[in-house]
Amino acid sequence: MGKGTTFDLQRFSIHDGPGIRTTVFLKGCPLRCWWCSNPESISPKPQLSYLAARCIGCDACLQVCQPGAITKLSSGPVAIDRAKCTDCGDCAAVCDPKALELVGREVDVDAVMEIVLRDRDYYARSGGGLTLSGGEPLLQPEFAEMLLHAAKNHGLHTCVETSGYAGWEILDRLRLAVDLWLFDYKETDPHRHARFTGRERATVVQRLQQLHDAGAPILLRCPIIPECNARPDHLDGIAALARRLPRLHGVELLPYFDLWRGKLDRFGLKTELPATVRPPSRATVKAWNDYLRERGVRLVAT
Amino acid sequence: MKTAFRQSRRQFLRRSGIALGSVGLARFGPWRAAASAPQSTDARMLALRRAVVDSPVGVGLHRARVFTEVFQQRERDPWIVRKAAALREYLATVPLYLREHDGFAGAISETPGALPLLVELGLGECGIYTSERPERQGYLQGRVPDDIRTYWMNRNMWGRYRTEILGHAPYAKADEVPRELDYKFISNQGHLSPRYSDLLRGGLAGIQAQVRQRRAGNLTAEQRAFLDAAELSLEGVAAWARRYGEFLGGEARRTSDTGRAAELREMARIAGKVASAPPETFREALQLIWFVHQAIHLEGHGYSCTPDRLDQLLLPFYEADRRAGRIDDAAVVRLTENFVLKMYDNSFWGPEHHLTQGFVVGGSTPDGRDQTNRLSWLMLEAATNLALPEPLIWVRWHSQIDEKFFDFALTRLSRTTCFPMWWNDRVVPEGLMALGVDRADAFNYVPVGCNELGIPGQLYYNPGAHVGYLPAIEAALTGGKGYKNQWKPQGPLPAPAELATFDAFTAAVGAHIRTEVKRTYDHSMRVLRAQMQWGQTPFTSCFFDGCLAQARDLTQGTKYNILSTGGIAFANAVDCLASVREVVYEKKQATLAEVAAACAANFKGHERLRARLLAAPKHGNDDPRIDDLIRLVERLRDEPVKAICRDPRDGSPFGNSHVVRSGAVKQGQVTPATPDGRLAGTPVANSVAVCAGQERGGPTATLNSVCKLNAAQSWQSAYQVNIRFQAGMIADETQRAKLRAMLHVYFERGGQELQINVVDSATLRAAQKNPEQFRDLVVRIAGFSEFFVNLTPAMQEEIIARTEHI
Repeated sequence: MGKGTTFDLQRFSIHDGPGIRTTVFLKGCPLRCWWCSNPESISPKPQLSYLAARCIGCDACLQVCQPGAITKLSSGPVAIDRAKCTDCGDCAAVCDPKALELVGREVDVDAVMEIVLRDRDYYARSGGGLTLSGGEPLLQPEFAEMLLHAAKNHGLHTCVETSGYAGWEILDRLRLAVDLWLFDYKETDPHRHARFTGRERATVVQRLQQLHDAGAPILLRCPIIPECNARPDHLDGIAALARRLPRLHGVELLPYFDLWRGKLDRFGLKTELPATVRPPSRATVKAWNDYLRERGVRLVAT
Repeated sequence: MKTAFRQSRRQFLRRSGIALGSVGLARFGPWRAAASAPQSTDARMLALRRAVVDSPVGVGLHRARVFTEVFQQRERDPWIVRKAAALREYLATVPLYLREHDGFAGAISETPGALPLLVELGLGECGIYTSERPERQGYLQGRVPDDIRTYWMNRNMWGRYRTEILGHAPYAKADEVPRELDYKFISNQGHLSPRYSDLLRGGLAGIQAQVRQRRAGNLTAEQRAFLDAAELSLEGVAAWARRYGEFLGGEARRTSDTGRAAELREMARIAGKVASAPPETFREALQLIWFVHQAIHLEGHGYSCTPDRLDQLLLPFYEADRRAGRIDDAAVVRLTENFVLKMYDNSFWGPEHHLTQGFVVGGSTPDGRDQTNRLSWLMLEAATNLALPEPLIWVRWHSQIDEKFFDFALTRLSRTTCFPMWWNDRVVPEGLMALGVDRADAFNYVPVGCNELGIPGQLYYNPGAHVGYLPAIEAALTGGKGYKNQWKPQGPLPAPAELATFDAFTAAVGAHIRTEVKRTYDHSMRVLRAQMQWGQTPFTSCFFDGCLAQARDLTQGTKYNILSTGGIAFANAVDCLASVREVVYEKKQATLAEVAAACAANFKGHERLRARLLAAPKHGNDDPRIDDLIRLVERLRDEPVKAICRDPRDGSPFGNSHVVRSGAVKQGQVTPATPDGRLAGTPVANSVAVCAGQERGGPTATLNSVCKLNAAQSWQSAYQVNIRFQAGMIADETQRAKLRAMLHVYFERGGQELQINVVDSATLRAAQKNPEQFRDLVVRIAGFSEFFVNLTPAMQEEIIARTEHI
């Protein structure tokens, strides 16, 4: 026990909660958001990443691939047939230039905490700490709980970034070890919510209300995506929601950015997000924030 | 002679092969360019800045001519007296000029933008002076008259060092003098900070009185010569100031602008006054310091000269002026801007060779009290207003630093993109104390040059040996022969096949380091002997402890004489050892001979081995697996340095430093592929932090890695750390608070130095495409800063490749 699957660990995280933080990304998510910037986080299993630019054409992977998913291109690098690939990772184990890498490792709490604690002086000085993100960290509740308790035992500030899509008993159990919830709110319109995220909105809003009523500190984080939820009625919905939750720490808008698109090729994934969606301009972002501010929403930037 | 010396700075850069990039449409609006635009509120200072930056550059020959004549006339006098007499004659005869809007008198040569030749030291080029090779980048072009070259070829410090110390045959003709000379033969040593407190208290007359008093009693001939020389040069500087007084008076009469005429009259009054009397106002003090600072440059210490700690030194003048209602803060800012422009104007020696003059504010007393004062704020504001690559601007961090001042200093990064740079009062004094410096003196330190250290009037730094980390690894891999069999093995180095363990391998690396430390130490001590005989600077000596008291030149020693090793590519060395240990000794994926063959072939046909070498742990990522290697490389250097290197004058131990300047690119170009997987010709690490492209853990990991170096005991003469952030990190108050927190932790954990570049890759790419829109964009290179558009394409790429933190 004490193990979980993570796909990344980011030190000097300065946008996921107060101060300087280390964010641990847990793998697996019940949602399928079109704009997900970590598409490799959705599956709970390890996944093969392939960066052709790193391939040196040594062919070591060809020898070990059991399902025969790897073929050699005449131009030098190899190609992966994702239909045949089982994400077993045998090829990654022999790939010296790390063109092939298995993303998503099973790690234990102590190993994670060893790295997290290397920056504890920075947390102490800046009011930062540990953030669990994902994926959906609540999909691995025992692992998340152990990490949070380990962090609290070392006196670290803790944040959990969540979609809220989990059983209330899980949130309720973690509650005492979480200093700030970074609660993602994605869409006001129930139909669109189901379309954009693959899950119903009602559960999310219910968990948010429950968490709030239980007295948990919450920062509402709202990804705003052009052509999807970047609409006045959704902004109105955010304002209305914030009014209903008086103890809310604040609201933070997360404007869409598109640096993640390159990951689709790396993992052989597809997205529903139209290719026309582009990051908003600074002026647009400011207009969204102003719109909410005018409606009495307390905006917080981390 | 051909006087092809005059060309504008920008023309010079173009002609000397500094590509300014193809002109295309800028992808970004003007707000990005404005990120580093000069911000002075004073139109005159902006105009002066423009004139200085766009100024022609060239070589001024007046100093060379006068020194040649005077040395010829006085062939029987002691060297030091000839030098002082020549300086006096130069100052008495040099044509004077003043740029429009300039509020301070005194310049390095007879025409704006021109630089003098220190013919009595050497006449090479070394990237700084003259060149007859048009294909060379960054060199001032032109030919020194033959009579001057012929007179000096066997007579200057270089000539006498060759014949009298090395025992070489004299040159038959001047063309035999090599074009590349060690920089110690084309400039005096520099890397110092004179102390100006006595000067401000008693004026030049006060210093002259000290010299005269010292004449009482018995003196040796050498002491007499030193005092003669000191007096001659002091007379020269005083006369120079008086000449400026007269000149400025004349300029005042000539101008039709009544406002400027009044200012010129005031400047004339000040120049005449400080020619002998002590200054009484902030402006008078700055003018006197400028005369002396410039005379020190003219005498020869142009390199890396930091004018004391001005915010501390000038505070009483500022306060007195404020009490008397003579000055307001805007005037302090304007005068400091003017002073900083003077430093830049008289410093340009080529796009990769500013003189690395600097300017430091803040700091703490030995008991931890914050010394930041009102002038620290104003002078930092002024110095960073102008977005110049020089002078370098430093702030001394300490745990009691005023948080508001700390924050203010960080905000200045968005104007200058790289200033201020940071030094740590917790670590630097401790390192100096480890070399025998008293605590009170150690806390008065100032940075001098790229990242060396001085103490005003007390410490004279001198590179005294070299540590070639990467050649030592190459030697260990090849039995001392080198990848291309280019070396004769120096002493018995075992064949690679005999190095059965990693310890045996590192012992071979250590043996080669030892051989090289000994060889370069011996060389440096021979050069030091030459400097002591033919490189004296009696005027500069008047501002250093013990020189007047003992009637001896600075080269004979001041209170602290810190000789140091220099080295480059420490981070590559750690990475190389990490790769060899993992690939050769742990995983046994290759033999040493195979690694050597792969490096020799620049990994062509050895791609898989290169991938394995690259996959080994890398320094800069807070990876505990290689902590021992950081200490090991330090030890491989420290042990031979302790055993071999001592100051021959007073037996002081050596310090160590990591000096790269533009070396990360230049050195990289001539460095073969290395076992860390680095390709031949690509830059080596630009600081002790991390090799280019190898940083994966973020800035806290990098800084933690740096803190694993033993700064105080093993890097007493300083290392440097570069780190780059996006502009948003500075612009946003919340993010800036996080940056402050990070720096506090870094410094408390023992980081010695830090330089931050705040500019994002997109801006740099845009500047490459459209240099004219980004002509004020300054970037920190390694030991120095430069306008980005002035850099060679290779250096631009190196800057862009440095990891950028979001």
